[in-house]
Amino acid sequence: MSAKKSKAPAKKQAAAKASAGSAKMSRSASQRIHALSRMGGDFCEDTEKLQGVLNTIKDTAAPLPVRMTALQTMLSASFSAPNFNACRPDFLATLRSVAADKNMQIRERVLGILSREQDGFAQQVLMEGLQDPAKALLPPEKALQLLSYDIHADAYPLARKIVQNPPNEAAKREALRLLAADAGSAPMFEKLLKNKKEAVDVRQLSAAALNSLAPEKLQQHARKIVLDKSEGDQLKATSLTAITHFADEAAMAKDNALYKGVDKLRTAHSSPALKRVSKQFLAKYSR
Amino acid sequence: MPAWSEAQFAALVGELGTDPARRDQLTDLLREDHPVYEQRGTAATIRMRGWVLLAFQHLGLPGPALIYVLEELDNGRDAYLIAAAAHALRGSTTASPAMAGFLVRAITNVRDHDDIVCLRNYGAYTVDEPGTTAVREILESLRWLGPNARGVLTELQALRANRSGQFSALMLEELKSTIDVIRSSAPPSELQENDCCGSLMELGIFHRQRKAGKQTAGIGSVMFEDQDGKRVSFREFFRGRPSVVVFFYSRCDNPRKCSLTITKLARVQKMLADSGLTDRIRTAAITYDPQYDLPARLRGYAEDRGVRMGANHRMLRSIEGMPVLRAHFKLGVNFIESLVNRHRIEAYVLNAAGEVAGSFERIQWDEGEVMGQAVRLLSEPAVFQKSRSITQEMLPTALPIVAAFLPKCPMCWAAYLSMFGIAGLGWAPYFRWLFPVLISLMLINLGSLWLRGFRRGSLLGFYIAAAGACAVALGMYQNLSFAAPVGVILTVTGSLLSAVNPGAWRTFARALLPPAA
Amino acid sequence: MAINLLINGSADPKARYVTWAPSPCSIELAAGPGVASPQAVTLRNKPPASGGVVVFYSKPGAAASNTLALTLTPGTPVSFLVGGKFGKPSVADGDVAIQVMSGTQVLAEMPLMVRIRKNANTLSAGERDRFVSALAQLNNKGAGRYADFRNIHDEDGLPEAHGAPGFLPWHRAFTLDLERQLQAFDSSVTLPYWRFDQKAPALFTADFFGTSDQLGTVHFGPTNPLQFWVTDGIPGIKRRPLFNVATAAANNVFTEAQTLALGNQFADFRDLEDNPHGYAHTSFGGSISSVPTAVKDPLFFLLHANVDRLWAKWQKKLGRFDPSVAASFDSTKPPGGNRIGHNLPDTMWPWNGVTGGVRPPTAPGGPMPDSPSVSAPGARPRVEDLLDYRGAIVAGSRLAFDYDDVPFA
Repeated sequence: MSAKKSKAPAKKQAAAKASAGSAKMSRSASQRIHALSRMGGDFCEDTEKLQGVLNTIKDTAAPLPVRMTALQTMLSASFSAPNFNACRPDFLATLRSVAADKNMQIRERVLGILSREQDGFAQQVLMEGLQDPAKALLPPEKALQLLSYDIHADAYPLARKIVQNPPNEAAKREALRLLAADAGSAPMFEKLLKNKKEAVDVRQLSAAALNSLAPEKLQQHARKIVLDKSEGDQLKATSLTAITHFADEAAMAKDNALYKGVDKLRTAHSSPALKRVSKQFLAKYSR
Repeated sequence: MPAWSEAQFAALVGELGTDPARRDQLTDLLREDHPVYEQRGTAATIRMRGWVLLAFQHLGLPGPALIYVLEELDNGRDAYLIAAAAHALRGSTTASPAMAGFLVRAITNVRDHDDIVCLRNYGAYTVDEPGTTAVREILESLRWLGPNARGVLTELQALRANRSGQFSALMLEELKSTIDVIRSSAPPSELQENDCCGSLMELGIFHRQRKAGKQTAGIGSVMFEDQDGKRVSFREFFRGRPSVVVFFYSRCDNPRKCSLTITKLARVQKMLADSGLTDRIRTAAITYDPQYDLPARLRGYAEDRGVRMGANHRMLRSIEGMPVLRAHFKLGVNFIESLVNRHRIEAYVLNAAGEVAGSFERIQWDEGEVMGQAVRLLSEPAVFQKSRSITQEMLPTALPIVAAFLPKCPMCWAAYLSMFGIAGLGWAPYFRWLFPVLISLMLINLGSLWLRGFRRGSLLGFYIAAAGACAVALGMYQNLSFAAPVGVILTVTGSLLSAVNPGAWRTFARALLPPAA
Repeated sequence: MAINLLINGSADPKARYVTWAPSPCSIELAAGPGVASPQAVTLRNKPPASGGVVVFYSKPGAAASNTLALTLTPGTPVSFLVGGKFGKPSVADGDVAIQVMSGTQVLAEMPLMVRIRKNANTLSAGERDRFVSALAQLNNKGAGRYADFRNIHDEDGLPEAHGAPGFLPWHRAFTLDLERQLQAFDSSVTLPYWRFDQKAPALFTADFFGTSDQLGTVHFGPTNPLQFWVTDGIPGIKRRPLFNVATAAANNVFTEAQTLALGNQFADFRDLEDNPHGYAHTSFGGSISSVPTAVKDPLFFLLHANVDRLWAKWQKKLGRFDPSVAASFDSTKPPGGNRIGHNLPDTMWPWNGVTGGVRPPTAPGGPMPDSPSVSAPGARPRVEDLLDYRGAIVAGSRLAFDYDDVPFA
């Protein structure tokens, strides 16, 4: 067994005793929360304690803050890996059992934890919900966000459909973010970035995606955007930030046309953000 | 979208799993590159593979399927697959001491990722069903091995001492009872306790020696980009001396696969350097994810694992010819969009002709063994089997020449007609309406030459053909008699240069020359 | 009159960074015409003090002083020490300068920086911008060295860093590794800490670590290079605070006072791994709240800088810098010792490059980066090398970082 700690201070022992087993319904929620948050991370070997916390998670009659704290207790204990090994199988099973809980916050938290473990069950229920909204446990934008934790999941075809026909703008953005993991999507992001009719935040997201997938292309387009008078300040600022931080420094040092263009931005009626990044660029590549 | 639903797949496995005569078909479903896994996510691939493995427990595990089970135990991270593999092992008709080492390794691999898994129904998760865990299944398989697991008793005792603190009290109890069962089982007389563990050969698993001489058409033309953004063809890099080649990708999330593969490549490089062989044996790591693993990522991944890079040691991504590359190496990989959904460990030794002379697949390979095979190839004559290789070398060169001369494709028509048609147009009837058609064909030809040259990184052929087109046009408008034949020659030359790979002529010449001593 | 001044024993401008702990320096008067021998000089801070302030020590163990009088003989270096004056850290590189005076004449001047880890919520705009710029470059659209940190905390090495006494030293090394790599881009940068037991409205802003929407997507301003953050090929950061970052501390975390009261023995104090450390992580939804994804969010490092600061404060409070003192480290060991990587003499994965056997199968990232200012903890640090981070026991153990609220004296 791992090293046993030295005798715990009396205060801590009292807290541990108070939290042993499942919390009684007669105790106030705040007392239960207090007890749960002082359980320490080393309770996995104590079957009674462990089952107590897991039962609290599953207890639909318990107040939501208590259940959320129980989840936090387990999740915090997981950071003491590998002491958590004894808890892990039962914890994951418990999470799956409450994935369809009537409370949205529980569902969101639980499916989030499972998604970060790249759990196949969570991926299945999330994709089912995207395909059939009647079965959705979470809004589509949240489902897409959670699916993007596993770049090897098969959510790409669904994400493409959602980009074409989004239920809302947030879902479109999250679908795009997921698609950024697929290098084959680079042409789509290029097109979105160039499309002046597209929403600014989508174009900014496209810039970030292109910076990862095709950085040279991003630099070319960023330069054009910075020098294009018809482009808005927000996208110009994003583009100039990309240039200032990620461009080829030798090439930038020689790009007099860009330097002059940015100098004008610094003095023109630009937004404060654009002026600020213009100054950063000019300071970095001062002539 | 995949052609089969998972339900259909499960039904197929169910059907195959009841028919011993079709065990081979079931085994075949474990190949990563099987079409049934195309466009599947990893989680789906896991469910499918696990179900196939589970089918073997009842059907009996045939010899060819054993390697897949051992692979999962040796390198897997997923609790369900490892549980299924341990379960499947018990379908073997023979228990072998060599299996024990894999089971113990699997305990170490999975104990921090264990989960309750359901093995009864396809794709079931632990919501309503009771289950087992991967470690539990492994321990049961160790008990099944009985006396054949005596060779790992020392390791099991060390695990039980639990200095790492990674086992629960419950698991320690199971471990203890497993050790007791192994100890108390009647030992076959030839086995000694702690006489580890047998070998892969005992299990009939060999790191394969492939019969050299097998070429894949077009492999020489596969084009790569390295960690510095420099382009090199397969022919240019892999011919002329033996090489060690591994496959990986930077977004692999199993450290026992890609991360360890590249780490081992660095060790092979060090061994080569220590033996003074750095310039005589090449090494390369090729990514499965060429669109994402741009040069900066290739370099970063390599540097972080101690890989040295230089003219003879490179990290590569294919920019042209990935399907040919997959065929040449028979790569064990499949994809969802451009993302890998599953791949095996694979390392290869190529001879000086770029042919696969040895492959090390699935199980962790030994750096010394791989290097040894490469070194042995140094002493083999760099035989270019002239009759076969000349033909194979000529074909990639000759075919474009034939295609350029004979009008067998639209682009060839364009070249053919544009160079002759316009030049001789003055003698043709219906000159006026033929003229724009042939100009268009000439422009199409120039366009296709430009595209090909851009992809290759050399526009020389295009420039020459463009000069030829200008000469033909000049001849027509300025009525210069010499311009048309000059234009024809330039157009033909430009088209041929573009059709033939850079370096192909050098290789062709080398093929004709006697091998170097 | 030529004066050679070495800071941290080096003429390298990249070594001109000091913390609260005294840094070894030397001064030498070059021989030449008109040079008096001996020459009396006084070292002082160049007025006016606009940023950092330094203090001088004539020798190790001496009292700190605002000025230092020395007598120089041409060709003979004279040693002394310099440290930051507690409470007066720099806000920009070179904002403090040592002046070498002869009467009222300035003989020489050398700018340096009192480079200190600060509360992220109180950084100046310049400090903030330099930090995020360096961080974004380290990530480099997913192709930079930040991927190492992601891999290290996700690979099979988690038992090397958690659930046992080595948790604190390992994470001290991990954060130090990151900080040194940031300093390779910009020497003036340090790793700030997030005080999770207090509100932090200035940290979670569009110009700094982003604002989170209801979904948990973090939004950055158009001039913030963190908008290009990529891990595993996915752009962006997922972080959903389960508390009001502008007005509240993280959920259920122990306060600093409660943490420091966990116990006077290391074996008790290291319970902070659960609370406040684990609770700080899990006060969010999103990447930082699960072990396999925590490092995808760079807030991980600010969180751990605070965990490390708490340890540093505990060490200062109780004098726990000496590895040979049982209470400084886990004195309760199972028979045979703690698991590998959690005993004082053990080298630490991945910096030790040791793989296989009882260690993880690979060790990405290479050895611990050097620092131009100090030689510790070395390329392959041991657990014990991370305890005496300010050279309180052995001067050469200094790691070249300090916290703004942990005094030296």
